[in-house]
Amino acid sequence: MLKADPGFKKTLSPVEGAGKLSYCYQCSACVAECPAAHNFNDFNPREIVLASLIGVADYLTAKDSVIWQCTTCYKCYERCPQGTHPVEVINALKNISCAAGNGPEEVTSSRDNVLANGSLISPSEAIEKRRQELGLDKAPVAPAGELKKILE
Amino acid sequence: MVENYRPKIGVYICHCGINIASVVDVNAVVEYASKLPGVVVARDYSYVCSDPGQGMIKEDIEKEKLNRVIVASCSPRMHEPTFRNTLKDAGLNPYFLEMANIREQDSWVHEDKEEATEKAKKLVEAAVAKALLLEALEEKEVDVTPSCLIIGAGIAGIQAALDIAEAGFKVYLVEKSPSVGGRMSQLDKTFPTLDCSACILTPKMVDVANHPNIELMTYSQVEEVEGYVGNFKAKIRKKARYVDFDKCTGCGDCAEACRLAGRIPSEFDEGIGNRSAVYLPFPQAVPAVYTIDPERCLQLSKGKCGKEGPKCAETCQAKAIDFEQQDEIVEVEIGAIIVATGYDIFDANRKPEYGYADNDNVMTGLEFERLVSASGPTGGNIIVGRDKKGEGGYEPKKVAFIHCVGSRDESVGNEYCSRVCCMYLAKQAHLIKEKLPDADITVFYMDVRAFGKGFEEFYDRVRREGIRYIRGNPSEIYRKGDDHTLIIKVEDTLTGTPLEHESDLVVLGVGLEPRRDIREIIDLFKLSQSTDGFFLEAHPKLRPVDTASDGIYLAGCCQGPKDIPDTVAQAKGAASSALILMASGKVKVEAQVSVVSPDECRGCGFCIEVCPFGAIELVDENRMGNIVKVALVNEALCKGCGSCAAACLSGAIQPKSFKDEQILPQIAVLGVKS
Repeated sequence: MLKADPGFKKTLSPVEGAGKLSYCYQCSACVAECPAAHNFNDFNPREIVLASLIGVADYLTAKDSVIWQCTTCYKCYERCPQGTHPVEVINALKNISCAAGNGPEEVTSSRDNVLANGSLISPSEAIEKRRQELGLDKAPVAPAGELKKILE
Repeated sequence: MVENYRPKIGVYICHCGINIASVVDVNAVVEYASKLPGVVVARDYSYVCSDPGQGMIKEDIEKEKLNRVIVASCSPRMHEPTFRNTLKDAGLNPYFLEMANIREQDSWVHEDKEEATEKAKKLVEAAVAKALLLEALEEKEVDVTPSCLIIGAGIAGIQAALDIAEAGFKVYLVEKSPSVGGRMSQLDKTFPTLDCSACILTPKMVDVANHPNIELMTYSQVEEVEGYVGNFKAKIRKKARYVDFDKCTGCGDCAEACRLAGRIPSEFDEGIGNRSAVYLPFPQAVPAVYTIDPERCLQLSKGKCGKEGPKCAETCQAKAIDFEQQDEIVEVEIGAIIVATGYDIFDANRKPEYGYADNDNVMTGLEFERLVSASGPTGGNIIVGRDKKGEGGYEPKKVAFIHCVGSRDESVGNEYCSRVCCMYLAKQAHLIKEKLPDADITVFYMDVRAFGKGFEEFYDRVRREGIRYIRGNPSEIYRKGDDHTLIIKVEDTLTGTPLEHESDLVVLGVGLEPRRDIREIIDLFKLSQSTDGFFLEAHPKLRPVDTASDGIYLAGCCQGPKDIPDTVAQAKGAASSALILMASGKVKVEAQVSVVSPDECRGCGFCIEVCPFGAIELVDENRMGNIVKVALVNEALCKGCGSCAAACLSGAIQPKSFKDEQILPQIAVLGVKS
């Protein structure tokens, strides 16, 4: 049997707007508007908000969670009559998922790239070649050390 | 009357069952109080407000010759009037009472028993300090003018007017539009009984017009109100109709002849039907007198109507058209006022995702009422998509109803439930099923609130008729392709399936909002609004028809969304409040009013600006031969709120019983130095 953790919703509040999920009255304007929900049967922002509210959200922060199907288009944010901000709830869940080491590789590798090189895409030979063809200078090197300092 | 040479104080500490006694050590407070200066007796009792409790106070006043009484119990809002009457019964001036609030301000908000007891002692001691300085005040009475002004002649105003008139008092019923009837007259049938709205309303409309005690003023507006409870004066502007009220027979020849016939959207038909520049809002209108719309009429707005002059005047056999008519100002004196100004519907354009502005087959609930009404522009046939001349159109095959449009919606600022939409949509769904049995009808809801008498049964009946209820709040409505098919994007939350529902008529269950011109009424009567924007009642449960201003009452949807039975009940309540005032013929005015010391007043007028009741004015005073301005309080209007005293720079205006010299010693006891 699932065990509900009523305190779970409080762990979302570091993301601004995510803490307002108790206002949700399950009207589903978010689902109706959500392009992801129309394409993936198992993705449903209303259910994600409900599960987070009750505190049965372990499956949402686990590996290969449905939350990564959210494209952060913010349509749900705009339609919600209660100001619940489902997208911010999902963003908060993404943070929790990554912190637990459950983020998908595409996301974590990008994150590691930024940390290591100060940019999302690391310089490569192919990029330099294309720049040369376009008559551009060599790609500037991001000050990775300074970024690290800021983050620390 | 007991003389107040030497104070003899009685202190009564209430247990309030266990409300106070479970936190405050009542015996310790009694012992402390008995040693305070001037205290003759100090007692405790389980419920001082009860009959034996009050009897105890009366007995002490007689035996011990008390001349000040202190009750330490609940908030004075609760029982100050009770204990004042006790003092009065025992022959003591009721204003020799002082209350110490040891419940709301002590036992209910503290847990530490010792500290709460200490606080109770301090509060009692502070009351004793003030009691020594209390003055006897006299309650004054003023006469009440035996007539009533009612603003708004919808069902609320009509019902209140009839009740008061039947009781034998004069009523001035003022309506802004050309006919009485209000929103109810626009409705087709009423839920849950399916009575025809017009059939139950029109007899009442005729009654108000014919009643000898009712002076009906349609197409009129209140412009100015002054005075106070029992003695108001109002100026009412009777707008020019440009049609002679007495000559017009209501035949309608003028409207047919009008050059703009059928070219002006009719307000009564919510814009889905048309009217002329000279018009009767609807066939059953009362009074059945035509009105010329001065903004649309070519003769009045442009000074010229065709080459041969206005056709209406030419056609009218009664010679009732009069373009020279002027507005008329009427002054009336009244004792009570009932505000019944009603509501406006939510503007569906504030939810642009529902496509109301772009699609003529997306309509509001009120527009649908006119469409389905036998007296409406289509004669009750459900035809949508007609052109401007009222031709063409089609019968819808797939109809969708949407709940909570503009209600329960923080994004448009309306957090409240409008209370009627669930049921009016159920009724409209039923009406479609009746007229178009083959139509596919779907209702999109979030919750169905069928709370009233017969509501749940009606909701059940509608579902059994084959109307589908899908739980889900649509996010968007848009047109698909070139025909009139609309797509509703929604999730069926009970199965968790996102749907794209097709429909060729969408009815939006728009909510109720405060009238857009509510500001004018607020400025006129100095009323307050609650957070939802509707008028604020004096107490949400026990005084739901009164306002903070004595003698002004509320009825109907101007106080909050309501269905017809609730509106009628509230109108009868407001009428009863007004009748109590008028039938007694006298009204007591507040004794704890502000007084001005004219020698100290410098006439700056700050008090006038802050007074929420408009009770202060500047008058001339002869000061050693110089005429100066000083403030003067109208005691009948003043409520003793003390705003003026806080604003006054020279301390010249003070509320009785709360003068500086009375409350500063009280505050000093509490440990705050003045």
